[in-house]
Amino acid sequence: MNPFTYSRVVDPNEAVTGIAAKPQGKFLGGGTNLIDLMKMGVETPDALIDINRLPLAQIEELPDNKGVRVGAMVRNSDLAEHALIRSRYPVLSEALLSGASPQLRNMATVGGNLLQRTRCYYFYDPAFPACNKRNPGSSCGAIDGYNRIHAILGQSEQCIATHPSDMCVALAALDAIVRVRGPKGEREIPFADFHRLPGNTPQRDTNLEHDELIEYVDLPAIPFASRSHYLKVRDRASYAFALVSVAAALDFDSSKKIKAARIALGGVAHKPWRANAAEKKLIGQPADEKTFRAAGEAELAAAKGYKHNSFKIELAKRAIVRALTTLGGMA
Amino acid sequence: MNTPTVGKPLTRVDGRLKVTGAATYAAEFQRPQLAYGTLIQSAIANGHVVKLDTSAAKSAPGVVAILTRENTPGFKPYPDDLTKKGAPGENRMPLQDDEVHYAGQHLGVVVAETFEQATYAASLVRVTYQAQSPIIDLPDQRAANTATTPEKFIGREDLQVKRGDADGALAGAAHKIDATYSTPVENHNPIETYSTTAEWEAADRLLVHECTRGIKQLQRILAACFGLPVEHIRIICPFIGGAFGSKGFQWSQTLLAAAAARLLQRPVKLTFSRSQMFDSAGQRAQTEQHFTVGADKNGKLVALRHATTTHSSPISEYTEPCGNMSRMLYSCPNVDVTHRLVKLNLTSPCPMRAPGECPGVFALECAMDEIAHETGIDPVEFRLRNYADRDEHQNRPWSMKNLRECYERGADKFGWSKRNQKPASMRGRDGSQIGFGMATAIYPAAQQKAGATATLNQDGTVVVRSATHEIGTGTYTAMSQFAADTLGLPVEKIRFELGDSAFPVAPNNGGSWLTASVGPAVIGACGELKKKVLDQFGHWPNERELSSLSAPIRSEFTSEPNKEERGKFSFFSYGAIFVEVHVDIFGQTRVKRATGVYDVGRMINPKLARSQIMGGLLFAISTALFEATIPDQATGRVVNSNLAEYHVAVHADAPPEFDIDFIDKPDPHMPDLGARGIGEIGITGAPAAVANAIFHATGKRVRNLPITPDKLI
Amino acid sequence: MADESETPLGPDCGDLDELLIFGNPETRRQFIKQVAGTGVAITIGVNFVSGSGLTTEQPVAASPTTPGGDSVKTKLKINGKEYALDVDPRTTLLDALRERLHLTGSKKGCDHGQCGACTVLVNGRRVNSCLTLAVMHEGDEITTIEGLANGEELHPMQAAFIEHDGFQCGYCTPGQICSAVALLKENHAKSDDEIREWMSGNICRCGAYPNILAAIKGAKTKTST
Repeated sequence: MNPFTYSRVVDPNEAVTGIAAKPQGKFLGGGTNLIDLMKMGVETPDALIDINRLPLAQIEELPDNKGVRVGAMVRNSDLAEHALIRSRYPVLSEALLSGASPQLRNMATVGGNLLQRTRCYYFYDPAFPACNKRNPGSSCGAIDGYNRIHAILGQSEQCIATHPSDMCVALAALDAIVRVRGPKGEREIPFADFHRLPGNTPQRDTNLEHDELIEYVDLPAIPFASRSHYLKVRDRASYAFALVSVAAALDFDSSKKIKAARIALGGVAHKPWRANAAEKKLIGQPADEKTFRAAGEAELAAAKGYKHNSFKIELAKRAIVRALTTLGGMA
Repeated sequence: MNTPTVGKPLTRVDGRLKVTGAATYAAEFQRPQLAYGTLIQSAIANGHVVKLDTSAAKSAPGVVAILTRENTPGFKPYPDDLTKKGAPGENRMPLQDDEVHYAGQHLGVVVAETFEQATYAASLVRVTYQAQSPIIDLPDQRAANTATTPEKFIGREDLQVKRGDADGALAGAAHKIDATYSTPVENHNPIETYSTTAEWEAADRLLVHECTRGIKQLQRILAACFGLPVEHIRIICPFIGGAFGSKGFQWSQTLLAAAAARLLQRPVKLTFSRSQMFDSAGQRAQTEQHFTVGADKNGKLVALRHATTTHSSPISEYTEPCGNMSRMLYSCPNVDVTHRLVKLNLTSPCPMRAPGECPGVFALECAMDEIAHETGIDPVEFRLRNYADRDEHQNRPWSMKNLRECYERGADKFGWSKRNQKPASMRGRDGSQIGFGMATAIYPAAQQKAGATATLNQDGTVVVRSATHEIGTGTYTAMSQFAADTLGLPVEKIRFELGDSAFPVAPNNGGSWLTASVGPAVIGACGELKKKVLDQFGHWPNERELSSLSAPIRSEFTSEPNKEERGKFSFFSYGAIFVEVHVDIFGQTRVKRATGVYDVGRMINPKLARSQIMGGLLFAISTALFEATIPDQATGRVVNSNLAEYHVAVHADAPPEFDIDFIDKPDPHMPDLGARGIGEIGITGAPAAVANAIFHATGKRVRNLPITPDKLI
Repeated sequence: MADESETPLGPDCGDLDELLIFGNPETRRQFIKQVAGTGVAITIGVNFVSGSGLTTEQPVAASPTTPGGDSVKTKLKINGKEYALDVDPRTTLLDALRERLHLTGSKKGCDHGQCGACTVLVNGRRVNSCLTLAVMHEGDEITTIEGLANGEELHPMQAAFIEHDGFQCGYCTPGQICSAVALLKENHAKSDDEIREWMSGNICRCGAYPNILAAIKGAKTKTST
């Protein structure tokens, strides 16, 4: 790790002021990703501002049945096991519990998880010369390299990295809102706008500004999200990143036709991938395998595979079908 | 007289130290004025270093020394026998020139006051290279130009073997298969990474704390390379946090740590990062194995051809001996086994748990499954029809072989008869495809020279010593049992000590030979001690007599394999392994049940033996389904040099049902108690059993490991 | 060629800059003294203690300060005992335990949160001590493997690991045990499947998982009766 100064803040405003003064500084939350990346030499902040003691560790209902507000410093394990989350947003609880390990979930925070960086090999090891995300303009080592874990949707010629979070896939399906505080005050970022596609600026993962602090994630009230599910496909039974994952929720009308659907995919793109095309295909249809398969086909129609990851296209379709079938069975 | 402990499920005598955190591993010895070393490594895989700029590193806080080629004191060559004849380990002396042969090659050591300072400073070293495109792949034409056909494996086993006329027999065979199996580079990945703490106690005396399963060999290496008498080198290693084939042989970090310590005149500790375990600690070489097998209409093998291509690094000749078991596991008149070695710009390979046998028996046992399927004969029945009643390669009898009983008992316990022979015919309630697969396990039963001392102290305890190792196999426990039983004392009266080069000779811990080698030495030393004591007292002394002893009574014994006996018979351990797998629509495979029956001679401690076999089986499941080290084709760097992307089995991957059973008959031709090794046999055969079960479940024959979802979807 | 030289390696090589030894003036002085002297190396306070056999060395006092570099003063409460430390802020909790406080029971296996060998309890919750900085833990109650036993009496989980042979090489064991102690507290040991899943953050390369499962179930029975 490069040398840095360490300071601790207990107030969000103090945090924002502090980070503004440190253009190369970073907030330090659970540390599970940042310390890891600093040890790799990928992140080299000159200042760490420890935000672990900020009063942002609550999970509470929003007034007027508007949903649930989650503090940015809530640990993944606490969020996953919270009664409100388990009952109203099981997809989120399942997504969290499918990620990492109990130890890491005890450390990792909601805010930090939003900022988790890709597991692309070429990004993670600075001895690889080519990575546009780590070193803009150096080209992409993965496109012609080993790309088994890489993106099949929304990628660019600059970058085919994937977003590694499970939690964020569920949040994408739930249309969460990220509430941030900056020097100019607070703002809300709809989840779909929080993470970015790589385009020509793969070095930027999110639309969060350097001097902004994530304070809360709001989960809007979605009554049918109580019937939601997270499905994760991986190389081993646990403690592995997703090859492909699906977060889904379904609502049915009185004739058992699909009234509303929320689907997001993990492991397939630079950001948690909201499956709008698939959702559209489902509306008004009966909840059967044919419908689900058509939704999967629609979503993956634009997918593009590389030498080692083309299997993800079929895998994602099957995962969509299975996740929706599971929800259909719960109807 | 105490009841004998051999055969009893004793708990580990070192258990308390291990569960309290008091067992001291190599990196945990406090040394005065300890400084921390970090390796400088090559980012390229082929070429040479033009300039190594240490100026920034030099001025980083806390840095006290930087060892590079510029100021290396130079090393004398490794002992001859460790570099010639395809021996594992590198033949190039570290820092001897500017050539780079693989990514991660050591270019120097940065030493600082703290670990944090050393690792940061090492990141500031700037290296300029003249790089050439590395050769990474077995099929690369440039690799083919380096191909050789080595005669022997480490100067011992024949790698090119021909018996009868395989071509002729194949031409007339009623059934034939022709298939190529491949296995990837794999890394041992013990959870404890390498660590060396070197310190010069005097200008010509070196003390090293290192996790090595070759204490005496490391002592010899350091003596040779520093031009010192062997007894001036002391190696200490009471516990090893797993090895699996690593932590033996010569790797440059010991020399570099010692040279840095000498330069600095302070103890220097150099501990590998996890990622360095992928480029500096040896690995299992990639293999491609081409099988052509022929059988007659009754399912009797008529020809077996096994052609292996594997690789070494440009600075090693080590050859993964995949074909050795193909020479004799089955009765077959016409056999053709070949090995071809090419050079790749990958870190030097070395043995990894069951070297040769793991990938080789995987391929052989898949091939047997394929030919059995081809002939329409049940896989167990097929193996019984081709049972080898003697070693047809050496043309001599087995020392003892109860493999038939392993097949029969295993099939019975597993419920093999419930298997529908047709592939893709069985489904679970959750829709997953279910398959049953089986394979034969086999591993040689070797023995080496070893010595031990036994000392009766005035307090009535007996201290037994040998320069052997504890890598987790239970050496402390098993040797304490041998000593206790020989002396007729309770185990609590025995203190077995190991891990010090000052103790009597013991072989490298490997080849599943520890118990059969060190055991006889311990039994011998304790037998001698008992004789001495009885000569003196006429009986085992009581407390009063003990306390009046003027000095401890000491004995020493060296045991050597009986050459005549070893030449008369072929020595192997055997097993039959059966597994049930479930494969879901995503290609995710879970092993739900495993039944293994093993013929490994006498059980010394059934509790520990079961643990070790079970560990081998889990390692095998991991090999079959998860493990692969992936070098980037352009740069030669390993892309997944970490435990997040190099997947080893986690707890959730463990089959819910394990049934491990032993024949438990002493081998009459093994020394003393008739025990054969159990360290490696667990990982042989089992990867094939998993692959065969996947074929049975899905109808898909995957011939390249690991069998990940992408290969099944 | 260096390897053809007949003389044993010794401190007979000239200029200091060429030797790239610098930094710590004390080291430099010692080195100069040695070079200027007879060529006989100075042995610096080596106090050899045999590490063989089943005994371990007695810990010496914890190093109170970081030699060189900027440091931050912090206090860590470990196993009920308070330690005042000057640490380089880069020091992870794991390295502080192992290298500074000589509490080496917590193991370094991967240093990236990918194996679980470094698992300790912070305020009763299991965490990877390799991915958290020591300075972040002022005021926290830290429990390591060294703090589980009650004097000579092993924690039931420790005893169960011995009884069920829940380890081989022993290196992942302290992490497994700390993790298992937390697992019971979290009430995530309700079924075999749940134990397997919730113990998956602790890799055992020796493959002792089925025995670890048995140990956890054994300890659970003992502590609940």
